Amino acid sequence: MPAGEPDADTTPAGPRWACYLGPLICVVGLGASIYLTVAHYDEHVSLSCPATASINCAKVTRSPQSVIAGVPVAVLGLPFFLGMLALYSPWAWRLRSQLPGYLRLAGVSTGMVFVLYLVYVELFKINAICLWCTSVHVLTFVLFVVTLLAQASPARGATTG
Amino acid sequence: MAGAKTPRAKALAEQMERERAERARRRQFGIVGGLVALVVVIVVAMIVVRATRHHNPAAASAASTAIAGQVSSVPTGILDKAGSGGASAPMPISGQQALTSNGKPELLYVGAEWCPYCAAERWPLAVALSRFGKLTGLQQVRSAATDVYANTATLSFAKVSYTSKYLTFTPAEIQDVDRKPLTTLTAVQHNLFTTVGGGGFPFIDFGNRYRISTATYDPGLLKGLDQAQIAGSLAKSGNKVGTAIAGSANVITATICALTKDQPVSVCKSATIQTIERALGASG
Repeated sequence: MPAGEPDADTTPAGPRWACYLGPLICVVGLGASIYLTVAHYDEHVSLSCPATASINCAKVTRSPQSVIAGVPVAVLGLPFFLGMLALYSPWAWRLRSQLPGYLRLAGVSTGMVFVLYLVYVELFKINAICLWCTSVHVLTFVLFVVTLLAQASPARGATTG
Repeated sequence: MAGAKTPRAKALAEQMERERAERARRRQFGIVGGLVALVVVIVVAMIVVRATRHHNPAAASAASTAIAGQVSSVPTGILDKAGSGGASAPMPISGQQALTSNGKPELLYVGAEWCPYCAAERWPLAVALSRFGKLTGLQQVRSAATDVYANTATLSFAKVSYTSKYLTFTPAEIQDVDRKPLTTLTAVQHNLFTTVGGGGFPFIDFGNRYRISTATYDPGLLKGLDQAQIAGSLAKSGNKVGTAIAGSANVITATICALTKDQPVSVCKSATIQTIERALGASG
């Protein structure tokens, strides 16, 4: 075992900063997704968001594009952040398998591509920006960067390489 | 000899391994940087393209089918329950020849898409007109961001068509959100707008017998709401916004009934409309 390699049974094998930052982003993203989901299903709950010509959460969340194949886009954030939270758990980091790493990459890449699509829809189809949706988009982007860096970091290489 | 070479060979191998690992690490971080840069470039490109399209986000766009449907089918029970909703009554016009078109009384609307009072008044006007005929081509727009009741969500009449057996509706949105010319008034319309209406927005001329020259309810009620929320409120009994719009729509409906000789009966003979119409006659 090379010097400095973490104990595979007790110590998370990923970089320490990623082990803390990843779950934190997932929890915040989960909170925003829950808020958007509640606002989608409960018409008595309106998103705390300014309504101007270019910024309008309700216009975005109640647009025809807010539902894909019968599933509200707001709801899709829940499985995404829950899944990423599981993949960022200490248990997942401790696994000797490279599978969690690949799943993290696949998950966050899928999320990032979907975010790009949603940004396109907001800018070109709905002509309005939803600030709460944007917060989820930014969190997904930060999680994307964190995941890529964690995967490429030396600490990660020490356990897999 | 072989024993002397081994440490050097081992050191060389370790050096090569370190260099290989370093190259691999740099390659990995290069890929990471490239992917992150790709995402950033795509987002920035979309924003730049969007910004250079010179599309005014406040410009009118077609109203959704749902919104148009909600405006044109407010439940009669909710309208009757709203009464006048505290809406102010139209002012009588005197000394003018009856305004008609195609043998029917004419309702002339002159407004501007930037005008916040027009923004409020279009909702009840659209509801009332839908009780006498079919109103199509509604658009969604917001009033000016720099005026009072900024960004009030509303409908634009700039491209509407109206068919009715009972009256002719002549809408004219003469300026868009940016106060650029939109529709040109005829000489007769311009004369009515300036002399009878005083040149202010909105101007609703009911056959030259009554006029509305401001919002008949508080535009502030619409603050923070979008078109879908406002249209949705019309079907909710007891909703503050829906009641205000329904009450104003009843006042407009009663005024139109005064022009159409209470036709159609199904609309004009309701107790609520009759009560408002009588009050209208008393004030006129």
